[in-house]
Amino acid sequence: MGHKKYSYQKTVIMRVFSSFLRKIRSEHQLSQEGLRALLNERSHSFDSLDTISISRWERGINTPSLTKQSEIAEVFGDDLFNIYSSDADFVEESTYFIQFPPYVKSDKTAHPYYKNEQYHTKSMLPDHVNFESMLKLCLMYEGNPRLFPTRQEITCAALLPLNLVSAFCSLKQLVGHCLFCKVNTKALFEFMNCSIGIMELLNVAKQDRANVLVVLSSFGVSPQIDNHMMSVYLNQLATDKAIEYLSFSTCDNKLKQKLMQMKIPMFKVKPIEYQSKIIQNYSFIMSRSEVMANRNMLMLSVIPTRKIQPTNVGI
Amino acid sequence: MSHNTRDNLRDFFNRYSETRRLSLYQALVKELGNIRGQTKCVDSTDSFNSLKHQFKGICRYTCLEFDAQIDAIMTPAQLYSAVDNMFGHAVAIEDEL
Amino acid sequence: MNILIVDDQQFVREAIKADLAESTFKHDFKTFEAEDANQGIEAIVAAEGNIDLLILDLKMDNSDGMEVINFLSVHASYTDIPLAVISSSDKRTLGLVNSIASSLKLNVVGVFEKPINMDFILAETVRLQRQNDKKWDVESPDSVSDYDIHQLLDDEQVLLCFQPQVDMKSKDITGFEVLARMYDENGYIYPDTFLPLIDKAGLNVDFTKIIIAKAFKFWAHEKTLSSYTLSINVTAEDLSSDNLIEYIIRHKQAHANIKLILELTESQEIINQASVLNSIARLIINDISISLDDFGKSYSTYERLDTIPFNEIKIDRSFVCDIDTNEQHHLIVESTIALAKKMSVSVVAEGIETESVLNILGELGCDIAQGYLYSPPIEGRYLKAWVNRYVHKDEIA
Repeated sequence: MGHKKYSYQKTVIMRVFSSFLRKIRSEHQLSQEGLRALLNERSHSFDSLDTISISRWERGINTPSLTKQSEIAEVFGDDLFNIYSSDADFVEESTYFIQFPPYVKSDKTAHPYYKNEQYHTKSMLPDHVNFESMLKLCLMYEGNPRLFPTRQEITCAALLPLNLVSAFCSLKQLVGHCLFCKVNTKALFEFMNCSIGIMELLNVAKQDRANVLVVLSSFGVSPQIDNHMMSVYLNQLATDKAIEYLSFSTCDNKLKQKLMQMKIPMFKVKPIEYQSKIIQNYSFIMSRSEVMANRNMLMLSVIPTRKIQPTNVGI
Repeated sequence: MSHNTRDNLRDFFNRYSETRRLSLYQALVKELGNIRGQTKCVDSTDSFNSLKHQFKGICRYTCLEFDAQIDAIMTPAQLYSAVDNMFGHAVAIEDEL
Repeated sequence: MNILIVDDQQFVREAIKADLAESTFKHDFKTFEAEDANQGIEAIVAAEGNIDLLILDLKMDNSDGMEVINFLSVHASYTDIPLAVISSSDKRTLGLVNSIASSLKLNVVGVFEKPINMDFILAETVRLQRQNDKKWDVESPDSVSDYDIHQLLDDEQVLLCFQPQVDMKSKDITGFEVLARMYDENGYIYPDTFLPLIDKAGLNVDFTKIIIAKAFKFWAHEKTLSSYTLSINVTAEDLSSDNLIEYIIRHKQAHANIKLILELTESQEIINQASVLNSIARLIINDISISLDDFGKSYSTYERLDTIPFNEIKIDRSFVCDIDTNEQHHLIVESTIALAKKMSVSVVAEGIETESVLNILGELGCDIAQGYLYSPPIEGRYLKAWVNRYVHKDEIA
């Protein structure tokens, strides 16, 4: 995202938040001073907040960080995802993450069959006829020996907690995928520490209340498709309020690189043995509020809420 | 199996920018050629093991260890065949780089 | 940054150079190559030891990596060169080489299996050099120029998170460790990123003051929380600031009912300085407890035990998290707990992620548990709700 793009994003954010503030004050019949006092009382992050700042925020002169915005929203029983996904401009801005650049660089690393064209995504449940073969392709890419190491027949009931979304281009070739499931944190840490395997993790997922969404693989041949895949599970996290954490457990270096560039803190690096060599398994974990305060992730999470039919975007 | 090898080789080179790719490719082909040549006239277990180790190193880097089934290689003839095979695939994709 | 690559295969050398070019580390890498041990040694001598990272292949055609390792160990001016050994050999051989190189007191980054991940090795090298206090001009992915630390502190973009500590026997919450986060308009910023910036700006003491003030204010405000201990991290350097000591004591005196524990991190030489010991004495007199953090991670652990009157030991997460599978770590944790018992101080194990680790710690007699098994660090605004859920968890079930 170029500098120019970001400035405009910021303008949109300012506008959305300023209208939120005005709406809140009117609904609760609060003056700017009243709002300041309320925030001071209800939260520890607004000790040095003055009324002038609130006035500036409302006039769109500046805006507080998403972290502070989220605290303010929470005081009024709302959350950033609701606020931002309801704004058509913000959602439109966010879709730039998955749109193709207006020109195609011909010297870029060319993919064997994908040439920045239309693609479509398909979400598959385990009972779908193509689920198994798509899952196999996804696992082959990911190369994580802890995911379904045995070749034995696995019932689709056992795979039920898994979410698989695949992206295809016009040649029906796979150009991206994401694989994730909702589990509880206790089981997830057991899995990350190799105390339990993937089948057990999925088994537990069916029984206990899920509070973490763990991404096992996420990939796209182009940055746009990559972002698109990410927007799928980020949106799931945003809309399922029972989910408290977002986690990644992957052996894919590209994904790890992307997460680190998005400033996501790495939780653990665990060496795993695979066909007599060692590969690294990277885990990441973030709380819901960390995700929603991350501008890039917030923008990606609202993309799937878009209702208009896309023209130059590949869906 | 052979289709995979070629794809994997392509994937490996695609990770790098164009300028890098060329020098990497030339180094790969040169090494494979060397190992192949030396395997033909290997005269001791030590030199055989050394060549096998070198080939293993290359396969590791290009993530082709599984495809090449290094662990199954027990004789110079098998090693020659595996190296030659990979050499062939590498040459085949030269135009794409 | 000067990197010397010693490997007999040209392809491997090319691949490593290509990986460096693609690396997320923004830096000018100057690479030197050597085909065998002798050439490698010549290159080291030619560079006068001015090498920031030495990547050494273990098994080469007509020489081997051990020759270079031995060479480094007998020349004092070269023992500091960060060394990354690479190989296609089996794990046991690699483990052995790691032990040998470490016992020769070389600056070992690690022993890595091919294909190597340059980003990982570079990150490990940066970490190693930071731990060794070496000034290193490498810009890691979280580039220094990204954040205006002064502005962030002025705007109070500091957020406190709390990680619960639980009594192993009763399973009751005993207290919380304070973990700071910062944030800007793009998202959270983590200690790995901001602590070096704070350090560079010389704002360590100011930052600690902000944490102390915020934590106390929060604790005093929430009546349900004030009965739990509050553990705050301080460095030995912090403790040599009289100003800071005064600040902490004043806060404690203003909130006599708040149980404060200062977790002493690091173990540098200044621990022994009279001024630091003096500060610690004043803190203890004012009813503030001292906890020795990251226990076992550095050599001066036992020195600290000797000189500092402490109440608690915290065993580092790197030893704790795998005591169920790692025999060495199990032994280390076991002896540390035994030692603590003999000295009549309490032991906190941090980094507990699984039940099996928790159970073993229980058998070993550990007093207090901390880790993701109970909870990741919780943001202040969600803490009360979490405590409520925890305290009433059995009632719901």
